[in-house]
Amino acid sequence: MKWKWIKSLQFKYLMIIFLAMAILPISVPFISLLVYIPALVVEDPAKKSSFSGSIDLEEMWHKEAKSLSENNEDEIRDRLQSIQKKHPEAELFWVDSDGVTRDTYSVENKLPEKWSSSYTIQFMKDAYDADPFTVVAFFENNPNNGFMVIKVDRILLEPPIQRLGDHYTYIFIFVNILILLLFIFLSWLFFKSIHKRLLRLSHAMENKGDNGIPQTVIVSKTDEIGQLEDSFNKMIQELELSNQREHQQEELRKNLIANLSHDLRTPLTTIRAQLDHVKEEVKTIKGIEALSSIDQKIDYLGSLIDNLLSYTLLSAKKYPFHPEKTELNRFIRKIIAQWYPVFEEKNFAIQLNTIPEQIYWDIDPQWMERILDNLLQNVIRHAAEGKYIEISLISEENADKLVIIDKGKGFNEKSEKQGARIGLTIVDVMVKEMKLTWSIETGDQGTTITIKHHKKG
Amino acid sequence: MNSILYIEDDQEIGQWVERELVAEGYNVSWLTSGIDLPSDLSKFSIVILDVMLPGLDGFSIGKRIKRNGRDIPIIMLSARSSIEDKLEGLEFADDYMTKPFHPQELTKRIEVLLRRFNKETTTKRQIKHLEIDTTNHVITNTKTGEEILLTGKQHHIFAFFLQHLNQILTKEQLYEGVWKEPYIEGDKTLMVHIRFLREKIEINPSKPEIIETIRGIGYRVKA
Repeated sequence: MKWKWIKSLQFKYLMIIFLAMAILPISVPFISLLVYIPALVVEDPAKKSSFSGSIDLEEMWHKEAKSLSENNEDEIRDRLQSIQKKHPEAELFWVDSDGVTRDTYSVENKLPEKWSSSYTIQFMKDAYDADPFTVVAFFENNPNNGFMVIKVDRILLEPPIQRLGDHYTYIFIFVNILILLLFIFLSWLFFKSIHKRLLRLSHAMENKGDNGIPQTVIVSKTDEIGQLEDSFNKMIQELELSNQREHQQEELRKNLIANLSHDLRTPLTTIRAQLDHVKEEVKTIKGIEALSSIDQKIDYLGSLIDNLLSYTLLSAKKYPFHPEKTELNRFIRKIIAQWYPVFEEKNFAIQLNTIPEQIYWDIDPQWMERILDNLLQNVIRHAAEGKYIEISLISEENADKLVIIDKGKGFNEKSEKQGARIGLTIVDVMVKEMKLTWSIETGDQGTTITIKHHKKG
Repeated sequence: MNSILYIEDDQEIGQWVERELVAEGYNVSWLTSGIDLPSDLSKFSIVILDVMLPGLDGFSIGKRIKRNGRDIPIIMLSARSSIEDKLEGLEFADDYMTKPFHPQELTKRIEVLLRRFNKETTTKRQIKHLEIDTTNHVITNTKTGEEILLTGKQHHIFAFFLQHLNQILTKEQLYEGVWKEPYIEGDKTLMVHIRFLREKIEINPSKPEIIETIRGIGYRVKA
């Protein structure tokens, strides 16, 4: 824990910056050592020059002039000759007290026979701080005794390192740039690794599992991103937990309602069982009518409970929904075949109009059956006096329609039949959920219910 | 006489249903739980099962029964009415009825299942002027006393009607039940066969009494 900060990204980043700052100043001399020392060893420019430097040359020349001031011409010539042998790269000459140019050695430029004062000044001026390096020394420090001159290419007097070729400079610059690039590369790598890990985390967040919650990630390191991953994992766990809790609660609610429905239906069945006993005892017309009314109410209560259960599940999105491509003609025929005896018993005129073209709707057949059951149940309960039911399939250019027509007294009359409402509410929810639309036209001549399926495009 | 195994924990409902079924001429074995389920079920023709039972629930009992033998029909009779329960029940059961129910509906459904599983005890059946011997597959016209001979397909169709007596069968159900292949809209094969069948069994084929046409839906044979 104590050393945790060492693993932090912030620390790593600062380390890179610090290293760059620390190494760059050191790297310059270090690289020059690295480049030039081997170069000096390999090339050894010192061997190519007989001079050790300008100061040494100047000192030597003045010493020679001093020692030669008492000597005669021959001796001066001998001495200069021997110097010339020792330093063949140098130009040598001497001028006597009369200003006459005497012996010259390897002199390239033409010198005057006799030195005028103006030429002398000009010569001194040209030689000053110029290349070649020129040393003028008077014999015995007396200008009247004449002087001797030595000229050496400055390059020969430079320290050996200066005499190395230009390519070593390029190598030096190149290596320096390489070091700089290395730091850029290192910081790029550093950023890249962060980038990669952030991306991995981002993918993990987007990649949702079956429960709609992303999977947890493996915590790679203990740095800031590691902490982020850790928090992410904790968040996922909490989400899963709350999801579980929600699930449990929903399951509990669902079970409660299912059990409640069951517990209501069981005594209803018992009432019917007891009613059967009573039927044997009751002989009066009024009594029989009352019993038959009770019997009907049992069915009514049963379906009301069923509708309440369905509605609760529907509104909690817990009613199973499995849409599939369904051929409507065939489907309607099957449903009406089941309902036919019921209508027949009530002496309904039954009109079913299917069409030769196949009509495919993307619906859950169980839901559609439920819708039709509710609508047809309503007709039986509330429009029985019309004694007419018509079910038609109509295919139009933009939409297919399923139309149910009865000749009852219409909806407005049914003040006491509020129970129909929940059934219709279920129809409404299911119709909308299956991307269908529906409408009711009702009047005292009857009711027309139209369910529409709009064709795509 | 057909025997019914009936499992129901509610005393009042149990007594009532037992009485109703006995009145219909069935032999009823009523148990209040599935714990002491008889090991040999072969003597029963049909099982009626409640779902909410003490101990083992009706779904588990039903699945166990079906594992031992698929040829015994099961009707679930439960106050659990959610679609999920129904679907779970119909995974193995042959019918699912919700409480409160009418005893007449229960007996009708029992009859349908017994017919479907060929467990009818009556071997002779009278439909209008026809007498049908289901064991020997003989159809006799009682008005003329002559035996009616049907072709293979006609017999198939008529047998299918008898199995689904009183039920309206859509064209699709009938075709697919007899031919065992998907019905193609507009196919006239079935109509032609029905016409020939009517010519043989009906007194007046243009006014059929046995095979009823339910306009727009299909056909029905009523007992």
